[in-house]
Amino acid sequence: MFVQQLVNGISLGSMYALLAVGFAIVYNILGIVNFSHGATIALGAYCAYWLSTYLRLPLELSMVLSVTIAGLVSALIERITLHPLRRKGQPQIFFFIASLTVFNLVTAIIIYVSKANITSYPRTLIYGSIRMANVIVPKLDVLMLGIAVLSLLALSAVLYKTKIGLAIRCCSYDSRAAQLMGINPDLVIGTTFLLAGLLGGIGGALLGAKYAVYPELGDMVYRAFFACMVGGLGSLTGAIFGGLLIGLIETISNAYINAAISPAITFGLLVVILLVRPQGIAGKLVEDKI
Amino acid sequence: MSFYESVFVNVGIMIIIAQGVYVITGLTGLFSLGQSSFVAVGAYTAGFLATRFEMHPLLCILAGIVVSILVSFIIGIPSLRLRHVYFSLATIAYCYALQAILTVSETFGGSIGLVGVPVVTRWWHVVLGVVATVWIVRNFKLSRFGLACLSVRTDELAARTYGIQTFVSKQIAFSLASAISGLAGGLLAFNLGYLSPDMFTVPVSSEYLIMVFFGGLYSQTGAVLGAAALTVLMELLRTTAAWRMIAYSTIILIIILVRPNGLFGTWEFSLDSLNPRRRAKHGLAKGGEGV
Amino acid sequence: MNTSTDTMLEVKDLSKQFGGLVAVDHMCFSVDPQQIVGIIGPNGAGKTTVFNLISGIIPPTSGKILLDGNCITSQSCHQVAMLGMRRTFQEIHLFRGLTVLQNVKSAAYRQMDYSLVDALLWSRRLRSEERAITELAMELLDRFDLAGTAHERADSLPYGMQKRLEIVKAIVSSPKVLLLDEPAAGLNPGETIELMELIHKIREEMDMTILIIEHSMEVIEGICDNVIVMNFGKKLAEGSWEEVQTNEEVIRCYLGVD
Repeated sequence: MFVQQLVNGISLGSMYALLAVGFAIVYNILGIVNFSHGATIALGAYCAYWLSTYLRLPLELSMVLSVTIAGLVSALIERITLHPLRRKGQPQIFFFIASLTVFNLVTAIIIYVSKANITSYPRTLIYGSIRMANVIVPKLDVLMLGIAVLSLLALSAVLYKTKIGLAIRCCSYDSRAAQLMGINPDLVIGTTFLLAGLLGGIGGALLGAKYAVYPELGDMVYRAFFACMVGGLGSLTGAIFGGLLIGLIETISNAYINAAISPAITFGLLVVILLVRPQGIAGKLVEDKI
Repeated sequence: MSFYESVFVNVGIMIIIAQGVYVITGLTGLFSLGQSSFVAVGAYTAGFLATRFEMHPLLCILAGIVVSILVSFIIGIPSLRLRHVYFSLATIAYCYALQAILTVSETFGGSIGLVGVPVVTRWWHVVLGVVATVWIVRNFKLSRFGLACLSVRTDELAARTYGIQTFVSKQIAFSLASAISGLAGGLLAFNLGYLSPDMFTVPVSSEYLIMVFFGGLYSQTGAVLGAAALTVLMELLRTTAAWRMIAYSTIILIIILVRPNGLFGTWEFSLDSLNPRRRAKHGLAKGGEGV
Repeated sequence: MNTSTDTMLEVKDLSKQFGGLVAVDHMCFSVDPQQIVGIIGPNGAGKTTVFNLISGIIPPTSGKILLDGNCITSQSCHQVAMLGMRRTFQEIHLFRGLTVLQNVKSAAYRQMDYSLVDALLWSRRLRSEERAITELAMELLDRFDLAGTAHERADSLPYGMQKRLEIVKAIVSSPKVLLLDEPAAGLNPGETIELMELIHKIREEMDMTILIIEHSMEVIEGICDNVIVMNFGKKLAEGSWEEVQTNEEVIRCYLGVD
């Protein structure tokens, strides 16, 4: 029974890890809390739903398209709202509010278009389950875990093997120095948002398949925020750990205590972790420069 | 209660909530995404006492304020030690946690919520509440405590070297903001007659924050007028909630991009500013947090 | 003036390590009341770290600090401030966006002691205390030629005036000990002379003990009673400007001769 929950938790956690990494790469490069990531999560689920329901496209194709749309929308959001703020050199709080507003706006549009109904894709993505001894693992969970691992591998290939990846990593160390080296910040930041959007879209589309498609799916961004911080600021591995941790805590408290109270337990525990280790699990303590 | 009175009451409650957000975010610089949960504490305390013990509404609201302050005190001890975005994170956590607790608790009506709270809020109650809140926040802002909050917001390290206890200043601001939210919650309970956990979510908190931003995060006048204008606008656009939210967000986005300091920036209304002679004498026109 | 102890500030065996780096290495010195002591040394010698340790911004690894007979080792910044120490920073740390007067009043936070209830209800006590502090602040601003700017935003002032305002903020609550971290940095020669006069004025009129980190030897020579030379976290020499100037080790450290 416990092993069963562990497996469920890891599968859910891998989704959170995807979302958290998408959140973290933007945080690393701009130092901003990007709530608009939530918009891409919700779009990832809804575009797949609309494409497969109204255009009758195959579900798999719809998902791929919707992930692409989520990525593009993420880059577009950066271009329209955050880019002008960045150019004017506005303080943090404006990015905070702007991204929050974009998130609210996209959620509201989705609610308006979808009439706030909770729906699901026209068919289940994958049926059946794998049985190993006493543990039953739905194939969907295996698929989610597999896609999450593949996406993260692909991301690290982009970050470590390509030129733009190198530029992204340079900018997250020191964006000013990177600019002096002739790196075009707009391109780098745009690409980062595109990547974040793709990750958010994948997470959203798969979470939509696992649970249901509903407008508040975007609120997962708060879990991503937590995973990113608890894992350790500035560390992508930390974000993955954080995501897995949240998935596990949530699944186990769901199973053994009470589904409704589980957010209270999850978030309470996370705050405790932050109090004990303010730098996060994998992060280094950064002292303020005086 | 007529349509206009209900609009009026809503506007008043929103102004009070905006004052709370102004104290914690505008003055002290902490991004709280948990203000809606303090409204919830005030509302549920008042609603619970009114339905279960049939206490006088005024007593219920006072109790709501007291409980709000207590809760903010307990929440503040760990979360105000966290810096920067970690504080926002803690407030999000707290908001989710409270919602979960309210949803499971039988005492507070679970996910259906509290029903049967007497609807007794009248327009003059709200006027009293708004006037008192605005006056108290104005006093706080001009006092040494408000100045300490401002200095914590602008330069925490320097504030400490002048002997300002930054944690205490934040705790005071946090408690004051919660007390104000608690008052708004009490009025809300007696205005709506029912309460449910999904009225006080993190997105609702973010709406409060955005509302204050509209008028200008650093101006008390802006917070009052911004909240009033937006609420009236939304009441006039009485279509679906989603449409309202779309209009709301679009307006805010335009404001952020065109006039990032909000409609009022740091400008403050004062009686002196109406009088050109005194204005010259005090040099008020030159601004600077508008004192 | 305090007559209970002979030394105003005493630093015993003070060390600070950052990981493997020893930033301050067994520093010992003491400062008598009303003395002006200069701390000089090459960049990275640990001068600012000494200030950060004394003012409680960072805790020392070992050693002891006494302020007017009170042990302030490892006390936090605001506690040290409440015992009568103020400091300025190398770079300007004004409260941007607040007016000059608000800046000075916020620095005098500890001199007002009306309660929160007084504040919320705008009591008579608050009004009289606020009036007194405003008068004090205006008088001080007047003495340092800043009165005309009282209602301007602090960050709109020219650089030299911002530096002066920093010093006014540091002395508004008449601290016993004042730490000045490179007050002349970025000032032109005329402003530097004004600054030296200002520091003299503060010591004479307000009975203050002053520690000053400075790269401008003109300032050190002009105002310090005593000079401490630091290199690699250690005290290299101590004495009057004339003594230090002729000290062989100091010359070697500054000129880089073996």
